[in-house]
Amino acid sequence: MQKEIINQKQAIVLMVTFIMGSGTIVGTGDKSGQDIWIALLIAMAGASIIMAVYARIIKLFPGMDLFDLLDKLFGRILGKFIALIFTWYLFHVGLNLIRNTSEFIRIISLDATPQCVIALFTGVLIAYALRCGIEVIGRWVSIFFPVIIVISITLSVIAVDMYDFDRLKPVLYEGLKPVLSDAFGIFAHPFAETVVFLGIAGCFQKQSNPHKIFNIALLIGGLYMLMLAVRTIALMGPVNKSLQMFPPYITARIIKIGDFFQRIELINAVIIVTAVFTKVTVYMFSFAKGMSYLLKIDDYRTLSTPLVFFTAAYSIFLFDNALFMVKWALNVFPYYAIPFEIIIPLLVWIAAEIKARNDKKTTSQNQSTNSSGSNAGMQC
Amino acid sequence: MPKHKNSLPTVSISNKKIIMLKSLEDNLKQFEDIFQGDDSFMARHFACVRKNKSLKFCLLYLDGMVDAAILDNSIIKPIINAHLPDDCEANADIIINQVIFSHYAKKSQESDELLSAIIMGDSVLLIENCYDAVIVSSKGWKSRTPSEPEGEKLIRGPREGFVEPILDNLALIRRRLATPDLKYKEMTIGVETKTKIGIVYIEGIANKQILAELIERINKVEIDGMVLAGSLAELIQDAPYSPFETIGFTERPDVAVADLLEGRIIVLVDGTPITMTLPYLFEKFFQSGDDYSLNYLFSSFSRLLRMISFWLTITAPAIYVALTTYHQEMIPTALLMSILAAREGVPFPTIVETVGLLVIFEILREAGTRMPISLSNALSILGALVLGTAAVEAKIVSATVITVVALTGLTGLMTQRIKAPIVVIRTALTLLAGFMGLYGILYGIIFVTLHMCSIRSFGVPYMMEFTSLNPGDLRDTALRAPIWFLRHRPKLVSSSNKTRQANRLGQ
Amino acid sequence: MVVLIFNIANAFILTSCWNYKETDNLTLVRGFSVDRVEDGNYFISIETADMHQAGTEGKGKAAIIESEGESMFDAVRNAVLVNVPRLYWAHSTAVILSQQVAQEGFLKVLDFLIRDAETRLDIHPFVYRGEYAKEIFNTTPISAVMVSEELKDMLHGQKFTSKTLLVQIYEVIERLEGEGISVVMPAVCVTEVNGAKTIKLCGLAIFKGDKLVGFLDEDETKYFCFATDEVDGGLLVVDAEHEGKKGKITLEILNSGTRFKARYKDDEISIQIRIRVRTSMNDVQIEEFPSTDNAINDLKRQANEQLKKDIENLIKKVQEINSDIFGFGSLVKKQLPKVWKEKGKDWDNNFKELKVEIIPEVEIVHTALLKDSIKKGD
Repeated sequence: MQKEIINQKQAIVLMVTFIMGSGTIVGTGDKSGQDIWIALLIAMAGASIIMAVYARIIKLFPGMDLFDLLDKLFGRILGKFIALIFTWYLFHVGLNLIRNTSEFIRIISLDATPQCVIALFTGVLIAYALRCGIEVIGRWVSIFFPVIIVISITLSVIAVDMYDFDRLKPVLYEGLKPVLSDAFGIFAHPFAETVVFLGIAGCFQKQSNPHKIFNIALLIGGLYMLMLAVRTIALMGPVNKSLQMFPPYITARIIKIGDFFQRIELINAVIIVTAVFTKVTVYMFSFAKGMSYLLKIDDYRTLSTPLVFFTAAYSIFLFDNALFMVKWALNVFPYYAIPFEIIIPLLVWIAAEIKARNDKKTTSQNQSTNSSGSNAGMQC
Repeated sequence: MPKHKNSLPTVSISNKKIIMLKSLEDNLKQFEDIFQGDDSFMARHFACVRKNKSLKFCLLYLDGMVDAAILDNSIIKPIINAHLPDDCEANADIIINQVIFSHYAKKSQESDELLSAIIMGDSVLLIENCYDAVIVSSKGWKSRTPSEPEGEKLIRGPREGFVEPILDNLALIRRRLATPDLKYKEMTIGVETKTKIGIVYIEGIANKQILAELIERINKVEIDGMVLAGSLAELIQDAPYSPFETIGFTERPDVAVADLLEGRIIVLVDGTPITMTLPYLFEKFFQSGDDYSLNYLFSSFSRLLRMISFWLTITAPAIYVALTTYHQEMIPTALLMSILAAREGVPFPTIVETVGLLVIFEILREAGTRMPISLSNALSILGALVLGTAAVEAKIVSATVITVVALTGLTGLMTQRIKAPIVVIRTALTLLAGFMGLYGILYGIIFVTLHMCSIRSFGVPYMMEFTSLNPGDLRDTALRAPIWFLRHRPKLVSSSNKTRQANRLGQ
Repeated sequence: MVVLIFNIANAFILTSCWNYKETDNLTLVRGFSVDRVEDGNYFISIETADMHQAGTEGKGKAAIIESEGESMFDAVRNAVLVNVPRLYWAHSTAVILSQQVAQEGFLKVLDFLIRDAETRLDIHPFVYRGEYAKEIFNTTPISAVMVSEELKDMLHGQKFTSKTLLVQIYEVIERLEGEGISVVMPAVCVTEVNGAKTIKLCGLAIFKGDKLVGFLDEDETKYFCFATDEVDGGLLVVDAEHEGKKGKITLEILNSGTRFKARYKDDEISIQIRIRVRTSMNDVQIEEFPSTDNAINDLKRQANEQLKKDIENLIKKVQEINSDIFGFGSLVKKQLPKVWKEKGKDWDNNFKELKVEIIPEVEIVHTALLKDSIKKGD
């Protein structure tokens, strides 16, 4: 089997869609009210630091994913242990995301359909995507990404005369504390979640610059979320935003063009489902890679289908109700994610720096063989 | 590489072999045994007049396959008048070199070669006391003159189409491509049919890896007979279970030449005017030869129309079902009220109504496709009057569904070439819509697009041009930029030589 | 294999179309009214589009369904008892509350509306100025087929009058939850036109919290619109005086913009409202009113004075009712967040004593088609 490769642009697009993913469902935090945009900017600034760490790890050992790296850096036992913890994180968040999607679809329109059916369909789709491989997902997302962007911008533009930017005032009324709290949430929730990409970094084209990938993705994804947050507040005010279960989705409900195009929130649902699907797929892909590393299976594809179905089935029993799900996503998750999004990457980064320095001293030829030009061309 | 399932492990033409002997009578008897029961098999005996009157000849051919004038004037007449020495080994050579007036003559003892020569319309000359037989070209069957293909009409294009004989088709291509780089590689497929396959490509432009892959795949095919290009395509294409075709077909030499210039490879199949072009990517479905001869703005517009039609024709009935049975809130109030009024009294559920009418439309289309023109009037009366007006008035179906199905059909006609995937996807999406509403459709579309992204045509990603995220790559896909912008051949399809226009002075 | 797939597909599609709802079974709700009856139950009257009698032209007749229940949702479900097909709420455009329901608090009614995924967030709430809100559906709409549609159309026509306010339910929520701003809803009443009962929009209903506390009439509503920058059009009738002759001059509002400024000085909050109105002089009832600069300037002055006086009166009235429908509180919060932290807790009292300064700037851009007044030649 030839190695799968996604090029730099596809990686960026994949990451942007990943960042868009859950920000579009449960939205961003609700403590900071109209100051959410400040929280977003702070979160972006924070994320750019931790993303630099992720990118550095990839840059130091191009063509290797996190699990190969753990083995190399920490030895077999400790490496496996860290991989096990990290794989747990991937599984758990993937689980949450599948639940988010099915819960979302169920609440907004298919309220009488059993959740297991929606989860099953989502599972089938993800399993198929994993079977196709990350390269195909990279291509696929390049088709859907422009569609998502065009729809979002169109939605924002047609509502332009309904905006009331006064709703963004007063600035920092409650002080910086709730803003920082939300900023932390946003930092952990979509931005630092890009740690998952460490698990698939082995598929990045070797010539691509990981710093560039992370920075551009952060910029576009951040701007997109900024647009969404400002749109929600300027349309409905912070009160409605914190009241609604799925605020970004609901905003489309009041956007209308004349009498004909109204209730277009389902178009928004297209964006949401696509983005979340991408996100889950990346998680599950990473998860499958982690599991195949732990179980010493060469091809992650053999594992992917059972893993996906297990996760989809398990997602049904995760939470009792949707309220708890949203609360968990907004309040508990940021703290829960600290070890996986910050501590493990930092450890890996430090170890990687030391290892890379040692490597350079001992064998300088190693790298030349390591980074022989990758072949993005033909595969039959 | 997909696995190709071939039904027959090894197929041989016949158990009987010809072993060439010295005696003409013995040899003739062997041939007569093999062609026993075929009355068109002819053996014409004659001898030389001037000298060596004992030296007998026998000319074997299949009546109807040969041009009688060639036999008379180029073979029989010169031999009868010839002066020949006794030595038989020399005889075959002398006959080839000095006697026969033919552009192609060859001596042979190979059983298969001799037999297939006779079958293909050549004649075999047996000589007394000679182990060799001489194969002389004498093909003379009838073929039609090139005419514009019905299925692929162009407004501003040549009125010439491929015909059945493979070499005539090669000539049609070669006439438009005066370069020695145009290569023609002949292969045969089909143990019984011995169909000639011609691989045409331009050296230096066509990708060698793709060519090697193609030859390998054709070599792997073992089948008794190959009558149509389509069945060969199915045997050698990627993703054989997918409804999407990864090999294109054309009947137009001009289109074939344009493909060759883009670095694609043309496969000619003897006996059919349909040629294959590969690799075939998704955007090709939306391209027409006319695009390059009409104004670029208009061509871009037509291409966008075709793409919109493609999406409309697969999603229109599904969206209708989803909106009317799941998401009524999205329908504008006034429209919903007319839909409600139209459905008043119709007994079937919307999903049954829609799927049923889609099937009926496909029946109408299928009936019309292979129907003599004289019957088409009756068909349109049936379709328009009985199914349209009467069914609505009798409250069997609602008028809105008819409208939706008509739109589906119309847009479907516009994208005829993608018929197979369209029918499959449309039906699946409609059922999904009846099951999960718009989410069903969305899931379905995600699945389909994932599938389209996953298939390749001879190693080239099927959706390559749409997924590169490079706006420049759209210049000959979704749009058709002015010719002077189309300076490069498609990536991966062609090999090293990528530039089509030297400079931009042409504008 | 094929049979298996086919059967699985069948099982899904034929047996369990969980959310599949055929349009035949739907009764479109266009609007509904809520009353409170003696025993404390809610009484709702639902205006639906009756498609069963509609011809192919697709115009439904209005049909009224009435039902009663302990809670709103209960009442809505009870409606199914009298009407077999399902009620479909996504196309409802208006909800009319009776005065009693509004006085007791509308939240109990509207919570259902907002929570449900089916209803719209842009549904228009109204308060019925009369006894029973269900009376509204006994009237005959003039241009539309159904009362609810007529109500919605009338509301959207507000840009020609500025005598009512376009309110949607999500705005109600925003105002209700927001600090320093109170809820208003358009009021509706029944009048007679040519002997037939029909509906009329008559000003605004003022809420404090979610309870009705008073009404504004049509003219007051117009001044309310001026004070909240909601004017898109309409007329300004000036009791003008020119060289001793009195008469009415009507200015048509072309556009209007209001700017607010909150000030804090000497422990006192004051609000300055600057209203710029561009008008055209369309109807002159004073004989021989000249189009000279002097006369026009004089007219402008009179218009300014009158506008100022009217708005001030309105604000005084509202301050007595003590419900900050202008959103002065939220203005202070936005412009002077620090002051608001201090004063906001006791806004009810502060609002009463709030000083509001109004600076109208009426401009007369043109005098319609005439250069001068029509003079009577002797």
